[in-house]
Amino acid sequence: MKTLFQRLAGILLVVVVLASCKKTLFPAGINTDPNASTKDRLLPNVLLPGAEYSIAYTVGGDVSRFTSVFIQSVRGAARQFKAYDQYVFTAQDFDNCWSNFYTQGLNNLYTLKELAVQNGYAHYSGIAKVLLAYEVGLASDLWGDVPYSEAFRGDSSVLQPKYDSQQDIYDSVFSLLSSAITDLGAADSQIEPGDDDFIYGGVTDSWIKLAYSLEARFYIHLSKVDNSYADKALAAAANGFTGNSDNAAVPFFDDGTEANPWYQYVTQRGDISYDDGYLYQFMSSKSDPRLNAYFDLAGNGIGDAIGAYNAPVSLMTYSELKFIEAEAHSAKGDGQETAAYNAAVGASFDALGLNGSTYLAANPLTGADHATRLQTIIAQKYVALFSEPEPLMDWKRTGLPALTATTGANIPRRFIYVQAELDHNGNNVPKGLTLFSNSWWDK
Amino acid sequence: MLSAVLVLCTTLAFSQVKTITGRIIDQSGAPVPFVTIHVKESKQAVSADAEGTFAIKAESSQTLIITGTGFETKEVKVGDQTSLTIQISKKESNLTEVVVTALGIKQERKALGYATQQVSGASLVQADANNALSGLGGKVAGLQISSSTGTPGAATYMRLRGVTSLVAGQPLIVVDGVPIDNSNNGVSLGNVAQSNRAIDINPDDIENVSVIKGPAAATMYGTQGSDGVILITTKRGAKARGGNRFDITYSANFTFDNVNKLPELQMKYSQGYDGLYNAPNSSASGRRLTWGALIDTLKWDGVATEWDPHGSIVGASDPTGKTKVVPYNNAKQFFRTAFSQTHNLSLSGGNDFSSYRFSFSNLASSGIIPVSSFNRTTFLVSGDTRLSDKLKTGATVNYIVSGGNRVQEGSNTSGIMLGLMRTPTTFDNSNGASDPKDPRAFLLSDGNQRTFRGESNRSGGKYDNPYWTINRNPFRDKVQRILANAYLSYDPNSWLNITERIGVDHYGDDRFQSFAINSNAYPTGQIDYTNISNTIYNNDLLVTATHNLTDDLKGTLLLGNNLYFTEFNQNNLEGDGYVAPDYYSLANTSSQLASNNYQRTSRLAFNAQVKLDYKGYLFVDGGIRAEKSSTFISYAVPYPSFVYFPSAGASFVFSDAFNMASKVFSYGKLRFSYGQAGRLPGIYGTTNTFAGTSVVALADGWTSGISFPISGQQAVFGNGLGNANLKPERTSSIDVGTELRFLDNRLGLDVTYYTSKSHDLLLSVPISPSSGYGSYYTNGAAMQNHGLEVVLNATPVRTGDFRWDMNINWSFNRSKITALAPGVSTYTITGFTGALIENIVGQPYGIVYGTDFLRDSKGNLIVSDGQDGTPAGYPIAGTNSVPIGNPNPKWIGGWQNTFTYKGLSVGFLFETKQKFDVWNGTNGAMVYFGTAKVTENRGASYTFPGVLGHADGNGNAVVTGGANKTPVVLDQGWYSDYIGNSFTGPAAQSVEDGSYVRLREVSLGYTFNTKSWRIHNVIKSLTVTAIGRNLWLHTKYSGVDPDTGLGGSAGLGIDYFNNPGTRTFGFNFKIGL
Repeated sequence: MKTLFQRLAGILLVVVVLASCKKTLFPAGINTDPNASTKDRLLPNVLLPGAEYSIAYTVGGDVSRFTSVFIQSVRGAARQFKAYDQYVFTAQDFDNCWSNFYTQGLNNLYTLKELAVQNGYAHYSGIAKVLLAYEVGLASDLWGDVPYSEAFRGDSSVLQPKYDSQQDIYDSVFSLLSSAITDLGAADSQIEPGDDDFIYGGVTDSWIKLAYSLEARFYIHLSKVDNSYADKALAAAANGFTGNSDNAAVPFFDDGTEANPWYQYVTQRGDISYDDGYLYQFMSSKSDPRLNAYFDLAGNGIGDAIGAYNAPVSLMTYSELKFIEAEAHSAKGDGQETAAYNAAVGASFDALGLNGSTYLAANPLTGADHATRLQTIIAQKYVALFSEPEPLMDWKRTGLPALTATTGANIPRRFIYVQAELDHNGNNVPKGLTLFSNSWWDK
Repeated sequence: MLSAVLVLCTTLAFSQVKTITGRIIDQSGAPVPFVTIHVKESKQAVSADAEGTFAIKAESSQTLIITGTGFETKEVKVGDQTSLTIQISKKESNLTEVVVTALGIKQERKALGYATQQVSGASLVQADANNALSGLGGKVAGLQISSSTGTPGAATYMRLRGVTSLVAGQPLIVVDGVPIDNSNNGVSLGNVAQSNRAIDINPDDIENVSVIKGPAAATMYGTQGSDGVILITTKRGAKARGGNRFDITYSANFTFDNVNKLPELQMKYSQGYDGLYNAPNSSASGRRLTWGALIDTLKWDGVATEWDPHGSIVGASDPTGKTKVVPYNNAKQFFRTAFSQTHNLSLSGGNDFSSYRFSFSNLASSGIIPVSSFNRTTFLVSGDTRLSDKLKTGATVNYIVSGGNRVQEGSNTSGIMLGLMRTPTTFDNSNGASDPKDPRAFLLSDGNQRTFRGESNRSGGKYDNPYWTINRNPFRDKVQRILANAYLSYDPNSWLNITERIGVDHYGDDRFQSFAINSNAYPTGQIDYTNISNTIYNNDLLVTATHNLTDDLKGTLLLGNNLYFTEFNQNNLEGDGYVAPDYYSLANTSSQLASNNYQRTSRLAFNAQVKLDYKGYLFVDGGIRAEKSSTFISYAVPYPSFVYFPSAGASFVFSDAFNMASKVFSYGKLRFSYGQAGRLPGIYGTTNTFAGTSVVALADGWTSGISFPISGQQAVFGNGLGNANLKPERTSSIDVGTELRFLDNRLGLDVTYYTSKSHDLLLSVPISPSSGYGSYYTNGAAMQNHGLEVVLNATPVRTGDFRWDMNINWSFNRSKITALAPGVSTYTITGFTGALIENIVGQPYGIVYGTDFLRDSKGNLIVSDGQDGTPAGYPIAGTNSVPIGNPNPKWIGGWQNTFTYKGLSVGFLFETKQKFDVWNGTNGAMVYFGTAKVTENRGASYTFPGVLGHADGNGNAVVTGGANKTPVVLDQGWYSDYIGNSFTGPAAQSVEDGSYVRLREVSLGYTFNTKSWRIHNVIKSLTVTAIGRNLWLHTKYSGVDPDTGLGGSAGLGIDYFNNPGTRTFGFNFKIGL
């Protein structure tokens, strides 16, 4: 028995001693997550697709739905959207939208920009800057003052970034875009974008055109605060899109997990209606041939142009650029607005595979002064850009089209600051703003 | 306090002296540990060990005297025998209660400085609890047992003295000395009700359960002990009863389940909108609601359609109308009486040196929802043998197969209750079919799904017809599990014991889920395979040394080493878009996604404890646990360092110390203990990562979203930020109490007060999303708990053959979150936008947080004066979330009674939870849809009690007048279109008190006196018992059984189309052969 005990004790002792040894019990890498990567191991081609789809799914999702309800392109018909239709929003309602912007799209783009700049991937850097400008500019258009200069630095312990004024955001946007144009014009680097870029397949010329077109968009936003907005917008537009083939859009596919956000919303929720909306009524009053593409007239859904499972989500179109030009020319009174207007409306029809000439003949741009012309330009832009957030920005700048609030006296102009920011960055969140407040360029 | 030690006082050697080995058992055959055996004629004495075995030297002519506290003294002649099994009888109310404590050490209850409570295996199964944990409900003070839902195999949750962590941990479960996994894998707000894995233990294999309350007692489990420990001891073999070589016990349960409570439906108004009927196949958007016409004004036209065999619905004045419309009761039609059966067969036997037990059990249960089921088959073999008088060994192997058909529930468009409770009463989900599998209920001739919202693929927002869900959206799981352990116990000499125990818990869980084409959530169909494997290896080496320091003072030193390894892997395979219908295979999908998640941890720990026993009435102990874990490893910390958890305790049996025992006062003890325990950081929490290899998805809270890869391109997003400087969570607690017994032990009272403070609690601190990241992981939070537990045992009547035993337990726990992290005032546990389960500084753990109607500073409702544009006379929706409910009960209690008269035994257990809030989101949605009973008063005039006012530009209340006196109409405009429901309006209006009293268990049994039977040599015993669970429920809660929880153990308080609870009755037969 002694020997048995000694043998057992010996084995146990060996087991305990061995097991207690650092390397046996705690081998290197045991607490390194094999299911995830770290920043130092990332490559641009995994950051870009996430960013593009986060933008597309959020802009084509929450942003599109909320802004479309604000400007009555669609109406909220049931459940939560019934409340939104009556302007009953809580700060939590915008949480998903904000957090998709900041923790997915923008953070990936910021990370991509840093990575690309560090490693000299000039074209990735350019793409990252164009999309950063697009998305942070949009965030500011929706909320007003938003974090940018201190944002995306959570991993450097900046957990409560300050809010930059909208004016500063716009400065950043223009500087990002001009720097992007430089980067995109640089020579090829070791790693080049390709299939991971769902917008342009890595074609830098297209990205440069988008950068200029976005400049034009952001300049036209400044129509109330910058007297030279028209000249600046036209100068930028001159280098922008030259046709619908330049349109910036993210594709969706024929698949249960790759379907368009409006398609998913309509099939899975469907709480909106269109026939009581301003857009439908305006279009049907003009027997607009685009109605069938915009709305599912047999049901209560959205039409295939916007809401087919494989409909792309548009970031900016040639048509919009032409409307911007039309507005700028009209403001300058240089007589070139009609050509731009016709091109804008025509491009909208072309993109849907329709011919707009009859419609244009019935709805020409007329008017002796800018204010009169602007009504037509913005009304047609409102139609052409259905589902995009731009019509809200136009309405804020111009008050066009003339909408009536569904309840009370005011129509919402902005998203309210989100609960997650109020809870976790409350000191920096600007106070006293509601759905109806104005911002710097939206005086 | 002796741990398997043989004490030899003298070693006189006579020529006739022989060594006698033996075993002490009680009337039931169970071993009696620690009794003293001494030789009458000499001074020689020994103690039996924990298993009741002993060895002593004596002569044939001598007599052994067996004495044990709480037992009648017994004398046995030695005679020719060398091996003895001695049966001794309990005195009434046995005081020498031996309890299993941490690390499986058996101790006398009187030596314990902390509160613990025992539940016998017999009590667990007396009313056929399929889940061992639910059998504990109402039986232990301080232990809150909660159900998830009433579907078979659904999880049961425990909270012992509240929780000590921000996302409720549950007590550690230890089976025969080995920690086991009790995960609730895959729990979610909208899927199927998953099991908690302790359900795999066959309750009939359990000898007893020892509940170690609070961290003061659980220090020896270190970072697993802060929520207390549930120690389960399985039955072991024993020498067979007279005449048998082995004993066979067979028992069978046959039970029936019914729904015990459903939300009330209105039966007066039809499908439709604005008082007009809309047909299911119409394009009117009002068909989604039940705000239609008075059913009394409607007729069927008698022309059968796929939508209704009675014909289309028309107005009463329409000439095509034939018969008056009679509302359908879809809920009544849908649920069924479920039948379940359990069979247990066990065989045990042994000799004086060895024993074995084998058991087989099979549970086949079906649920009240057609096709739902849960089955469990277990095989258990255990054996123990004494290799010599110094060495003992044993092993246990338990193999389990479990799983079943589960059904979708909760916030999920396939959820059974969601589809069922939103169905208008003028639409028959079953379409007249009586067989739930009949496709005419859920399938249209064109292959589309038949639902009350029509079939159009683009109409959106449908809910799956419940019959579609049970037939076309199956979920099956199958778990195969092995729990095994082996031990070796060695006593090299009288004062030393060395025990080595190794154990493993391994399971594989294979899950299959499919959504057929035309399911609402996945119109093109989806298939999912999930394979989970989980393994725990545990090794304990324990050295116990005992020494009599003086005649009055005995010391025990305990040293332990623990090694603990875990390995977890989960693989998911998802196929999207079925190509051909009715062919449910990955091979038939147009695209596939795969992902996996692998986790491995290791841990090393040492325990040291010193215990002192002064004269058997004063006990003092002190100990420390040192631990290091792989989850602290980071780039900054390549090797973890030790963390320490101290403990101390004292027990003073003052009735013994001062010889106070009398007829009236039998026993008195005071106890005190202090201890720390903790919790480890989550795995991989030390590094900042970007998710890569698992499926990366995008969603927005409205839709199912998109998943990568897309066209072959992968994506990553930043995960929550890690933290290289993590510490363990730490909970320090103090436990003081007293045990008093009166009237010859017929009345016992056990009172405990405890207080605990938890700090360094880990949380993924939600941070400003504009930091680029959603959260970072840190030790920031703190909380505290205190509470009181009272246990009263009594035998009010004991005359002749009649006996009434009673046990009352009552407890409360108060928790408070005292800190979260800098800048963090709220921390979400689970829930829905608008109604979250949240931790908030200054509030109790896990309160309901959501929007309320606008109120003034005194809490009065603001009734709109119209100045802010809201409709005058109605309340106004507040925009900010506030605490709106507390799901923690004010107190909980159980009252257990057992009456025995000869062979007859009657038992019943009342259980109550008082004053706890449940967010009845089910009702909120049903009001919106117009199916809730309360909406039957539509059109009624009502004056909202409150003060006149409005909201200013910032949403703050402005009071402008006195009490509101203007009546308004409660109609669709208020209930559905506006904010008179928690679905689109403030969440607070659906917070309800869930208080309940229930008759949790009833049993009525008769044990036949088979001794008089001619077949007694075959049937040794026979007991027949009628059993019931939940036969009576008293509650004001308007929804399903309020003992429900959707969001897992941490998220109690949410009822959002939870599947309903059940009431059960049946029979049990138990035969001993």
